Amino acid sequence: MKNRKEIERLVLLRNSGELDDHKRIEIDERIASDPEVARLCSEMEEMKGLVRIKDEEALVPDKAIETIMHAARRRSRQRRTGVVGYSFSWRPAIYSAAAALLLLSTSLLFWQKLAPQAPSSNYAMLNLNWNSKIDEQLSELDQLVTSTLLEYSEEIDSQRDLNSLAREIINLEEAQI
Amino acid sequence: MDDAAGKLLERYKQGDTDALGELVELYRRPLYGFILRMTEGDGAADDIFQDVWLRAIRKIGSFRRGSFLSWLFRIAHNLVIDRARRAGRIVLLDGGEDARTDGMPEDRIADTAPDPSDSAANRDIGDRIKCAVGHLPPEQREVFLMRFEADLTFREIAGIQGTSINTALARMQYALEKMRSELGPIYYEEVNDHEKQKRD
Repeated sequence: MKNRKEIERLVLLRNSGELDDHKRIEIDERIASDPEVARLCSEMEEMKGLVRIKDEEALVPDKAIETIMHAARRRSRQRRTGVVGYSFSWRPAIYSAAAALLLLSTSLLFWQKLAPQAPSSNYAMLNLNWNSKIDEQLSELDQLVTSTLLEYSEEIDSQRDLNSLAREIINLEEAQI
Repeated sequence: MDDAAGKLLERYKQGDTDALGELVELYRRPLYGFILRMTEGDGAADDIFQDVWLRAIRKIGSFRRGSFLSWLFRIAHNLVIDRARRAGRIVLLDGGEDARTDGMPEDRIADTAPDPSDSAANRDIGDRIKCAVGHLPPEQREVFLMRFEADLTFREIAGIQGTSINTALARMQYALEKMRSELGPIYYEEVNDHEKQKRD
């Protein structure tokens, strides 16, 4: 303990009960033997006594106390009836998230395994059959149309030939006349 | 937490509202004294005291261990700063040795105490000390009051202010130094007389 500042610091710590035993004994001895340190210590105690607010100064208005007590009663009633604000806690949130994840992965696994037998897949198969049947009919219709068109075009061609033959005959007859 | 407060708190948690009333009464003087001195001349002490308890009631479930008084002071500390911030009382005080914290909301709590030299002769030591406390920079005033008004330890004070124990101790020492220089030798004569009277 070299200077006044250091002594004052130790006295402050001693008074607030934060010195270890060794230091406390040391400062107590110093207080007992050194009038200057003893004076410092008593000065602080004296100031503390004078600073403290007197009871008559610390009069809190009744209205403020009533408001506090009203809030306390309301809160206490809420707590008893269970109607109290939800307080967030991590543990249930983590458990819920883990359960949801497990459920999701299990469902995914089942869906992958059972997908072909699922009613929805039968429906898809039915759709597929229908589609292929329609395709077949369409191609048959297409062939029919094409062949009919060909026949017609042959007929037209032959008709055209007959027409030109008839015209030639008429032309020859006119020339003979 | 001292036993009495612990028991009252437990009773309140179990639904005994009267226990909270007793708790308010138990801590009324240090808590109200602290708020009153931190908001001197502001007229806000009643509201802040009420708000401290309302917030404490709301958050009481989150209080686990340690000193309940220190917990209340932490709430009070935040409310005093919030109030100063909302009121926009931007009165930057002399940072002095603690200039590191300049610009923080704590520094904006105005110095509203009357001049200690004003009709000093008509006032007793108590009034002059009260006046000198009002002239301390807020962060030093806070440490001084928490220590002397509420007997909080420096560890608790450091926790509330979010600083180290050494900073809290240094603030206390600066506060004492300023008090000594502001009160002057007359104060010490009176204190010595007071002590002598007590010894006799």
